[in-house]
Amino acid sequence: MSAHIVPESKLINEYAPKRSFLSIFQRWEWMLVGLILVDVFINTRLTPYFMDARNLSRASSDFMEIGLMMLPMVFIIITGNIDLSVASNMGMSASFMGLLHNMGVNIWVAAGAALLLGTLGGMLNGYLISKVKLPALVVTLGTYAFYRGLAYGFLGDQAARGYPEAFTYFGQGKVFQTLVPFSVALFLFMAVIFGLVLHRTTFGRYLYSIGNNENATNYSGIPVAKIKFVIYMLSGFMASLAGLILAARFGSTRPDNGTGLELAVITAAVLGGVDINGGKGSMSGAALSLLLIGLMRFGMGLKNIQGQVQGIAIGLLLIFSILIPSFIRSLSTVRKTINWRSALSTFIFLLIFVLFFVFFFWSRAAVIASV
Amino acid sequence: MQNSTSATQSVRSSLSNLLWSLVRFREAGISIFILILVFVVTLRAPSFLTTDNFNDILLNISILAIMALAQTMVIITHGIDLSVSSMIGLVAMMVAFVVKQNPEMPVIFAVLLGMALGSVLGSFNGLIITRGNVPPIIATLGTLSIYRGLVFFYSQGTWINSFELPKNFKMLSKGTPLGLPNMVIIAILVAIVVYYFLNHTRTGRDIYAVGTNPDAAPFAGIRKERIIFLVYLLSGLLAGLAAVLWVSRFESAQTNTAAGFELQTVAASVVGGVSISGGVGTVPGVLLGALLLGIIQNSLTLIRISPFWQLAAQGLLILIAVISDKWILSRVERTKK
Amino acid sequence: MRDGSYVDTCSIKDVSRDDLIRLMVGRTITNLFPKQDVKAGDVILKVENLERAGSFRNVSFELRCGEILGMAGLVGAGRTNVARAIFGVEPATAGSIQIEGRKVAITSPQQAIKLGLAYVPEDRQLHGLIPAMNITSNISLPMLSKYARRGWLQDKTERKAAYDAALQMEVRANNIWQMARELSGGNQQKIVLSKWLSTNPRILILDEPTRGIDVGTKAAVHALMSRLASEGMAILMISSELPEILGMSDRVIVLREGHMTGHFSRAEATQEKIISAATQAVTLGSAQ
Repeated sequence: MSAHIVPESKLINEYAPKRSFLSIFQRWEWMLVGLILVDVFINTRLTPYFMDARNLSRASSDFMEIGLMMLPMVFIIITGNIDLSVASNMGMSASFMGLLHNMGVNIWVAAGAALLLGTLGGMLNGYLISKVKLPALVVTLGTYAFYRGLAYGFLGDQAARGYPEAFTYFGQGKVFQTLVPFSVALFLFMAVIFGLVLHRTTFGRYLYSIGNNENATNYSGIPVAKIKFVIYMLSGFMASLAGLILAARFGSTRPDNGTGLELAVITAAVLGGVDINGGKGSMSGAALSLLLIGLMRFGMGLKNIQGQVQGIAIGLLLIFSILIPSFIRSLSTVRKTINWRSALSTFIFLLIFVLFFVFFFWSRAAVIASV
Repeated sequence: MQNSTSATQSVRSSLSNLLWSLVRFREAGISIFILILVFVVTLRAPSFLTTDNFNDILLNISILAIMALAQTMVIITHGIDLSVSSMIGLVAMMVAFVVKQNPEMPVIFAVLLGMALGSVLGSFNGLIITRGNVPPIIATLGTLSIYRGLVFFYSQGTWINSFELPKNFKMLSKGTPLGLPNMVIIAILVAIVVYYFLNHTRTGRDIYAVGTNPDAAPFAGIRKERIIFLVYLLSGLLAGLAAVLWVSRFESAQTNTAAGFELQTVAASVVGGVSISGGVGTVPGVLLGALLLGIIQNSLTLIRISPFWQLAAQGLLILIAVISDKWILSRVERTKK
Repeated sequence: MRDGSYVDTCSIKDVSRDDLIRLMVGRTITNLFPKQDVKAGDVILKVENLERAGSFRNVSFELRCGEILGMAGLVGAGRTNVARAIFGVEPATAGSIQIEGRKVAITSPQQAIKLGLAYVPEDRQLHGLIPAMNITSNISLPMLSKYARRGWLQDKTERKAAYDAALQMEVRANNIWQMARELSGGNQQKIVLSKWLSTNPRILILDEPTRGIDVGTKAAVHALMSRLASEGMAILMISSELPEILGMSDRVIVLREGHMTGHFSRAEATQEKIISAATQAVTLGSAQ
């Protein structure tokens, strides 16, 4: 029996290994930057109105409600949860304020009450999810309906109108003498705060660890339930804030304000690199994706593409943002032989989809022609 | 000498018995709740307990029942299909266009066409979820937007009216050659087929397996990818059927047809006992869930509660259903030993 | 093989158990269970009639500073449930827990840590580690607020503390930025131990501390346990490995189907006694 001398293996090295220059650019955020540049390039070629500061200024304020709601949504998704009720909460708060205002209550008091109501709404979600331990999807589905229902209950089929100008400034006015709308400035300010909390505080670190492994985090003495409660409360607060901004921007409130926006918020977060399963994501990515979506919609709007049809592009973008990296990763696992079975089935499906679209255009043609 | 492995075995089997008894219990619970509700509502509005009204309720929930069953199969595999409303909308518009241009076409062709179109849409979902590794919530969120956008693109904002549709097509849903409206009969048939499929076929039980323990399923010889693809395909197929019925019933196809419907299907499933983490759910439960939602909607109108509060009531109901479910489960756990 | 390199090939008849161990570990291990005899100090943890509905009943024992109490029993006997009850993850529904003579109701791990408890879980992957986070973040997690300044992360402080802890445990990894899931079982366990030791506990609960790890690390863990005990730490060790129980414990308690069925001192404890207590009800032995 012989003995070999084996070198001692390395102990831990304190400092980070050097990463190659190129690998730094493999991050999700850079992909978004690239897409933004591509989009800007395409749009400036297509229309001169795109790079107009005043147009951009006006268009950007459309997105700030989504942006404000997206900030706590990033927290929530990183912990592996979801909040489907944000847009309904927004509508509920705005409607509540409208109701109070219609009844003659001072606008600032009404706004404060609305913020309180929205926060309470978030707290209800938080309580049911963290204390009663119900699944987030189901709870926020219920409150999605419940809060929207309350919105309709508050205002019925009327609208609330006539907000004083001091209030509508917050939705329509600009900061000082610049072209920057107040709502954009507010969003940027909030985004910086949320981003700092996420990336540079213990609270943010806890969010990531909860999303990665909630059990182990709990065992490590981190107050998981309390943290979840807080993030849902935040979500409710920001939703109601977004509702106020929306009301200020339109100058009126209707109970159906913001219907469907929750999906835009989630889309923006996920497109920003926040993994829907939790544990991964960055605020800068989310902000960049908001910018990307905003620019795309703005550009498409300038080309008179309808809002709903714009949805096709956004939906495709969302799907491909996950599909393509996954596809690239699967390519890297070298396979000597092509799987003929799966290649054939993929081909057949492509054929079917092509046929579908042929039928799509053909069946459409006859009717459109007669209109 | 007692064998402790048989002790743990009996614990395990009693646990699964427990789960099933809970499900039965839950169905019993919903049934009782429904009966109480019916009783209370009839006191306030005697017109509730009439065959006309029941007919109305059944008509209203037929489409919901069909789609809730589809959604249930998806949820059992630990997925979700948020795009059903857009699938219905798109297929509805396309079928309506075709029917308008070809009024002499036998109605059955329209139904088959709808199911075929729906299957294509559903299979797209299935493909990106299985091959593309896109999580179901993201994939269907994306197709929700894409398909709805396609409706607008397809119709260019026009819509199909009642007088543009042939009579026999409109009678598809409402005709009563067998006593009940056709639509209700179709829904019942679908329920029977799905029940048989889930409970008495290998594939059906594989669906439960995939949802309960997705990692172990391949080891049991289950083609996980195929099963998952299948449930989304079925979701699309049933959406196509539902679309045809929708156009037939409401005698129109608009760009916002069925908008927001997907959440009702999830609600009916959840109220009916389907667990959002997969693996649990029964056909009778889902049907009861749809029935409960329909009764709530109907009764609120009869009691003359403003329609503006109905949505709030529905949301509250979902919350109450899941909370009481959790409460019952924890109670049962505690009295187990 | 050892640490990723080939060492030797030999035939079974040519090699002894000690030789194998030496080749695997790189040094001779004279005593796999290096238990020193320690004079036990005061009672620091006292559990009386502890019960959790559906899991265990009538569990009572004392734990003194400097002693290792082994908890034996078959899988599913309820030992982990007892540990979780003491640590506040699944709190007890009846009975009492006393720490240093004071009655406490432990309802969360956060509280347990403040009281000086630490729990190294049975399932590292599920309850012990955050797999997709790096070594530093894993080790620093329970004490993160101490390494931060008013909530703001202080990278250098955190990294230094984690590095020191990992070095002490002789974790073998390329660097401290590696993700926890990439490490071997033994290294992962060292990470979990570093994490808990950095909380400066007085009572350490170890649940299957050497399950699924290599011989070398196993010996290191045992040596660590002995050293901690001699420095005054009270240790509760749950183990399904009889040699470990017999070799490391000062006293042994045995659970079966949620009940305590045996209580032996180090001198009294034998394989037969423990096994029979684990598999059928037996009157309690004398405890000292």
